[in-house]
Parts: sequence; structure tokens; C-alpha cells
Amino acid sequence: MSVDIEEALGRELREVADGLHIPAMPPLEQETPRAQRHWQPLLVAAAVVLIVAGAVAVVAIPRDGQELGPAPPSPSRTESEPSPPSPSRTESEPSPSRTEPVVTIPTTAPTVPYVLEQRLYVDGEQVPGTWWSVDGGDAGWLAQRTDYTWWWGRGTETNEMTGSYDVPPVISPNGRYVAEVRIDNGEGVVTGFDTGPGGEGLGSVPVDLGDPQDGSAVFIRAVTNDGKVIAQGTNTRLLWLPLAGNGTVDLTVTAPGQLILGSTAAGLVVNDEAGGIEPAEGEPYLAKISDDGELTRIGAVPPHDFVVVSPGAVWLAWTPAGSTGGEVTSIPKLEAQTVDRTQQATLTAPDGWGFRVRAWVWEDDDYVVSPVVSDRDGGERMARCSAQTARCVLINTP
Amino acid sequence: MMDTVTSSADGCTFEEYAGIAWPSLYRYAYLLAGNHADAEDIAQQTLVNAYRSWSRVKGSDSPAAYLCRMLTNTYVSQRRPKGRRLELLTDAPPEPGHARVGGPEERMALWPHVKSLPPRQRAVIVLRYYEDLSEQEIADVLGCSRGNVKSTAHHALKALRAALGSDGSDGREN
Repeated sequence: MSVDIEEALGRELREVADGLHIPAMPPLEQETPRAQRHWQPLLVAAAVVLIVAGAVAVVAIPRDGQELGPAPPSPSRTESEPSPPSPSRTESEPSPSRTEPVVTIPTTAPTVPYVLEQRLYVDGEQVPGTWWSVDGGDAGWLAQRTDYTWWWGRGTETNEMTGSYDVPPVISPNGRYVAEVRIDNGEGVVTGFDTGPGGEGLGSVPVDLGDPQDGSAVFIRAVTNDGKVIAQGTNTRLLWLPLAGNGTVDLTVTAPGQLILGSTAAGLVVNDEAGGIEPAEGEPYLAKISDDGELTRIGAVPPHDFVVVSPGAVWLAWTPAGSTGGEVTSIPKLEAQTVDRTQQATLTAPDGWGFRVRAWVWEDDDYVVSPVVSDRDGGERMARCSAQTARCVLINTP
Repeated sequence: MMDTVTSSADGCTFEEYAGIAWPSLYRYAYLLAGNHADAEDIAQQTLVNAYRSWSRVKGSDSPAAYLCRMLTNTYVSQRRPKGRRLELLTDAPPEPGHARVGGPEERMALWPHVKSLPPRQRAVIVLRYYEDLSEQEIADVLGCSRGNVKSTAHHALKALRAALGSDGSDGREN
């Protein structure tokens, strides 16, 4: 880790703080805090009414007979009260020993973008429109509306991706790079852009688009966190290096018979075609890819229908092969294991709920969030699971 | 804030302690929020909550740490504050990413990008590099594991390095 950036951070933060003009402390109410702040302009005060009233409401409503406040130090977590034992556990899950500390899972809204009942939320705010799905990382997100248009954004800022997309665009796990297949002047190209502030286009390279009719169409299979793009179809296996001289590598030469299934924080998910094309077949594995197009195996991945990796490349969460597909819309359990396979966990949705298929996403290297579907009426809420404690709870959303 | 505010609230009324803590609370809130309106909101909310829990705050091992946790959680958990948008309705709206004090902040390489980090990443960066907290102390503030702090810091620093690279200062992150 560079010493310079850390030293610069400390210096600049201190400089900002030391240079501040500190306003006078607002008068403090002795009784129940009022919702007005007289020194603020009227419009700002109106907004503060909502914020302060909300804070007062949170503090004033007793739960379990106690005032809310920050949770005591570890192992409990702040921002939430201990989850009641029964709703988050199934009959088959052993109850923790009475001597074990109860680790609470926060019930606050997800910290990552998510879609719930076709509503997209980013940074706690709803993005206008109706949506099917969202993907991305800290740097940006990529989402599809219910009219099948594609959009990308940072925070709640949205940008429409113009053009028709028979082949979906793909975003890197960190949300920094988006790649797409387009038709430019009658020719197929792989192109992309950087989602960062002032982000730039990545240029483009020509590609044989193939033919959807015979199943040879080229898809963007993966975009890595360092901006490598892999496009594959039956006849085309292309590694594009837009940030390394705009070079391309023919993967049929450097990695023959290897099908890239996706990109994760822990590397590419790859399957050997000899064992099967689908991730549910054969023995998929995690791999790094060099600029020369050579794959280096990192570790095994269980055969799966859908797998996601935590942002720090610590945990996998997946559904076993054959558990989804067809008309399955929700499943009761997710499997989780650390990338080094030293820990395993089964994440069971709260009683009466099932995880909506292919919608779970890691918030960090412990928590995974997912829409859950009610077994009773098909309604949806969000749930958060802890891989380390193998517990799941329903959480609050706007 | 952890060091500058007296760790003992013994013998202090809430008003007295709040008066001592206010400048540090405000500075910390500003580093998190990036603008004065939101910093005031967050710092004032923290004092409101501290007032309601004063007996607990006063009796804790470190009231300063207690307030730090309260303020951090207030910042991370609340919705995007409306103060920033409402600033646009005033006569002289500040430019995005610039504090009203202007001047030195505008010349800084990292500060504008710190303000663009997601809330938890920003909190980890400020707690680490301004408050000089250890990973365990940061984990206690945020109510998460040390591993989460590590990975959050890792992603934040990566984003900042990449942002510097976009500004032309360094090569892109690899």
C-alpha cells in the first residue's frame, strides 16, 4: 500500500478540518427536541424537520423496554437491536449456546444498489422508473429497466445507454468499467467506457458478431476490475485490453477450450468445455487472466446455477446446480463458502420467505443481501445474511 | 475527536459537555458529509440523541468514543441529506464538491475524491486518517468486523488511487 496516499490523506483531512469555521452550537432544547431550528433558512429548516423528527422518532420509541442507543462493543453490532431468535432460524438450525454472544445483524437498508418489486434503490433513494435488475460495485452500477433499456449510474445519477441491446452490456465487479457489443457503421464492435467522474470511452475493436439464429452470437462474458474485456461466442473468443494499448488476444489460441462464465472480485469463473459448457456442469474454477491471455487457476468453484463473490474476494454464495431455472422464482437456501474453502455456511431465508433467484449480492465480506419472496402471498422484502454466523434477518427499506 | 474531547464527563452537565464536544463533532461531521449544511444536521442530531441517552453516554468508558459512534451511525444510516439539494435554492449555491470555505480545499488532490466515496468507505477513511483509529476501534465504531474494515479501506484506497490516476497524477490502478 502506497505510503504517499495515506500520508496525503492524513494531511489533507487535517488541513480541511483545521481550516473550518465552526458555527455556533445550536441551542439545545431541555424538553423533547422540537422539530424547528430557528437559525436556519426556512427551506432548509423544513427539510431538517423531517430529519430531526425522524431521529427523535427512532430514539423515542422504546423497543424491548429500553431506549435505543449505540449497541455495546463487540460482539454485538450497532444500528440494530438483537434479532429475535425464531424468525431468522429454521427448525433444522441449532440454537446457539446460551453462553455464546448473540451477534446482531443490522436491519438497516442495504448499502448496495438493489431492486425490490421493480423499484431501484441507490444510496437509499429510489431511482425513477421500473427495473428488472441491477449490478455493479462501489464505483458504479448497471441496470435494466422493464422496457429493456439499459442504464448506468453513479449514486442516483443515471445515464441511458443508447442503442439496441440484443446482447446485454456487462459491468466490472467494482463498477468501474462497462463493456458492450454494438454495431458501428454496419460492423460489430466491442466497446466500453469508464464510469468514473469524467469517465472516458475505452475505444473499440471490431468483432464478428456471430448469428443469434445458430447460437454463435458473441456475448460480453466478463469485464475485470482492471478493465480487461472478454467477449465470447461459438466462433470468437476475444480478450480486449483497452487500457493496455487497445490490444486483443485470441483466446482460442492462449486458452483453448476454456469458457469464461463471468468476472468476480476473486477472478474469472471459467469452465472447461470438455466437462460441460454450463456452470452447473463439469468443474468450474476461478482464474486470473494475464495480458497475454493465459489463464492461471486460483481455486475450484462448486458446480452452480449462479455464484457471486464478496468484494474482498473472501466468500462465495451460490445455488447448487439444478436448483433454479424453469419456473423457480425463489429458493429457501443459499450455500456459502470462503474462497479458500476453509469455512462453509448455509444461509437460510427467514421463515416464510425464499431468496429471489439470481438477485443476491454481497455488501461486504460478511453480509449478503437479497430480495426475499413471501411463501404466502408473493410479496417481497429485503433480507440480510451473515456468512460468518449463518443467520439471516428481514431488513428495513425505504 | 477522540483525543481532543475530554474523555470524562464526570461533573459536567450535558450542556457543558456538548459545548466542549461541539467543535470536534462538527469537524468530524464535516469530513464525513463534505458540506456545512449536512454537517450541522448530523452533528445536531448526534447531540439530540446524546441528550436522550445522556446517562448512558456519561457512564460509558469514553463519552467521546460514544459520540463518535453515534455520529458515524447517524451519517451512515440516514438517507442522503436534503440540505445539499436545498442549498441550490439559495442565492449563492456552492459548486458541487466544494466547501463554502473554498480556497485550500479546492487545491487538494484527494479531498474532492474522498467526498465522492460511498458513506461507509468515507467513514473508514476519516476514522483511520483523521481520527487515527485502529482497525479494531473503527470496527467498534461501525459495528462490524475488522475484516470488513480492512476490505472497506482497501476499496476506498483503490478508488482514491484510481481517481488520482484519472486526474493524471498516477498510472491507472491495475
